[in-house]
Amino acid sequence: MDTSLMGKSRTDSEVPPLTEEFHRAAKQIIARYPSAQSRSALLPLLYLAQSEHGFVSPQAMREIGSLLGLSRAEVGAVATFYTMFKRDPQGRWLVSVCTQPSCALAGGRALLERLQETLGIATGETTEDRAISIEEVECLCACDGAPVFQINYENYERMSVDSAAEMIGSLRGGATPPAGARGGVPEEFKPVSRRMAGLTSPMPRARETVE
Amino acid sequence: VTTTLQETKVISARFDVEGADRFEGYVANGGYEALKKALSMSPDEVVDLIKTSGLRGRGGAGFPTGTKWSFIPKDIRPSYLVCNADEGEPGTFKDRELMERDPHQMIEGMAIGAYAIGSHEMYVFCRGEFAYAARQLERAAAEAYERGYLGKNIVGSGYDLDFIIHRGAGAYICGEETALLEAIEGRRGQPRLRPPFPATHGLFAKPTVVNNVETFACVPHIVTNGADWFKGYGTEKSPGTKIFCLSGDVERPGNYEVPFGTTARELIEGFAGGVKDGKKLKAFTPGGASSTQFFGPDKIDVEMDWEAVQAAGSLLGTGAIIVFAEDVCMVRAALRYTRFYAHESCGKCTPCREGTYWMENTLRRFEEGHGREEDLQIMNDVAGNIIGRSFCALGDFSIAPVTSTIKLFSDEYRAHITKGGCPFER
Repeated sequence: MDTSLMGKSRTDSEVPPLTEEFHRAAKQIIARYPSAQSRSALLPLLYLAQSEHGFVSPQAMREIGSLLGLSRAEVGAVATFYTMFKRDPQGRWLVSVCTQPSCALAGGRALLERLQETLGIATGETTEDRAISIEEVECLCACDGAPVFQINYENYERMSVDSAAEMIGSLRGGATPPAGARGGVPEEFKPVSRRMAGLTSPMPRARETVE
Repeated sequence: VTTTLQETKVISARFDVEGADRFEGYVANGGYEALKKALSMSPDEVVDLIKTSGLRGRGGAGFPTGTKWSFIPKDIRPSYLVCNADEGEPGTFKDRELMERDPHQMIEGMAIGAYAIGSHEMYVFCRGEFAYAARQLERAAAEAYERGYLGKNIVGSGYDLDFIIHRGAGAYICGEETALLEAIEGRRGQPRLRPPFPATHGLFAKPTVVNNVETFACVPHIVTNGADWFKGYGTEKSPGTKIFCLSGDVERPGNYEVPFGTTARELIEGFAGGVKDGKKLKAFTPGGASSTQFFGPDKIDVEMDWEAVQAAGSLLGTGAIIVFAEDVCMVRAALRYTRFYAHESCGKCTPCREGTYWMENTLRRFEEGHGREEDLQIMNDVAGNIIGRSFCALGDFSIAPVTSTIKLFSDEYRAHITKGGCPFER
């Protein structure tokens, strides 16, 4: 269902065509799936396109469609179904705040309200300097660490509203986030989207021997 | 409740062992011995062993795993094995931790399952937001390939096996197994009509087994220690151990592995240290937001296994115990869960798509001070038109927060009407 949680759609953003590097990487991703199943590469390719533009543009959807033999509508239907494919250019740091009860009771709701206030943007929006986007998300399944939020899908847990808001606010001044709860320091949104495409996942090695 | 509570760590035994998430550490702690043993057995013997163990699926439904494996026809190839790692049930956080802390255990369990059903290609559908878990899986898979535990002729057995990681992109419904298969096939994650079932027409319309992360994590231990050992834990119909996820208003939220049949009291008051700040318990979910009935304090002695929780009027689900203290507004909690379902409804069928939308709107009226007495009946009516009329279980489960809270806490709804708004702080 298309709700405010998904953000508004903007179709007038001008983007360059997908690069040669995109098409090289796309070949690798398509090869991960059985030969007649290239459509399975659609979700990874949408991540890959997002890594070039910072969102999934209508133009990228058309290009991916012609690569996989799908119509623009078929690609668009998929791209708009999943919340992690963004229809607006995202900031360098996407802050996702969980407001499900386990987190809300521990301060998640208060954090989201504070961020909207201090950053001057609503959920689904991006600051004018393109540093930060914020979104409200469903359970991130780390409820023992409530309140939980993510920066570019890296978890931050058990932080007070004050310290979380201060750390996130500092990203506007060009700071990079500290390490998250699992020790990882998030990369910016575009390289993280590339990681999501799974180019670093092992490729199948045994398939050609299978009947 | 005793003060010497101890977990029964089987699948979480390596969680705190330094380096057990790497190949060498895993092998040094008994890892991959079960796979070697399974490869020396016939596939049918492995299926029979899992059947005999009584292992039931940990994704929520509790379907017997060995039986599911035995449904795979032998004369249709290829067949596929898929791990459902799209954990998203509010309050659940066991699969994420199993992948983050012991990724090889899951891979080993999957490899044994693939061998048992004659599949040479296995997929893990990993929730998109689980960036760290996915990195752990990628590294573990690369290590397993490098050491010959994945790929051609694994551990010299003559058996070939590939492992493919496919990431989700933000959709709770993909935890439903046919929606998950759609997502791997590059489509919208909407459930398929059944029959045909995945056992014959699953991934790429081929025979497919889909099991949860925690289910696969149990498999190596059963192969190593035997079915009788496994049945030594838990109850007759719910054998083994289970990771319960304790969160919300408790002193020590976390994952606790205990035998099935452990009471909710032992988990909440014992392991999790009781309700936070000395407050009283108002309610808890036995199985996450999708528990068909939330429980009040009168149910705290319920034994946490499939049969006992169902007999008490709810479902064990994923074993996510979310605790609400006495000062929590249950109308607001119901609103948050219902908004979750409204957002995550895939839109395919009308009762779920429209029903969740109207339940959310009506609940919001209460929070905003415009609730009316007749709204309680309206919400129950809407719920009655969702359950049993939806395309998949998401719709059926979506009514639980509404119907549960109206049943247990109608006085809170009325307090909202009387006050003209929410009378609670949190």
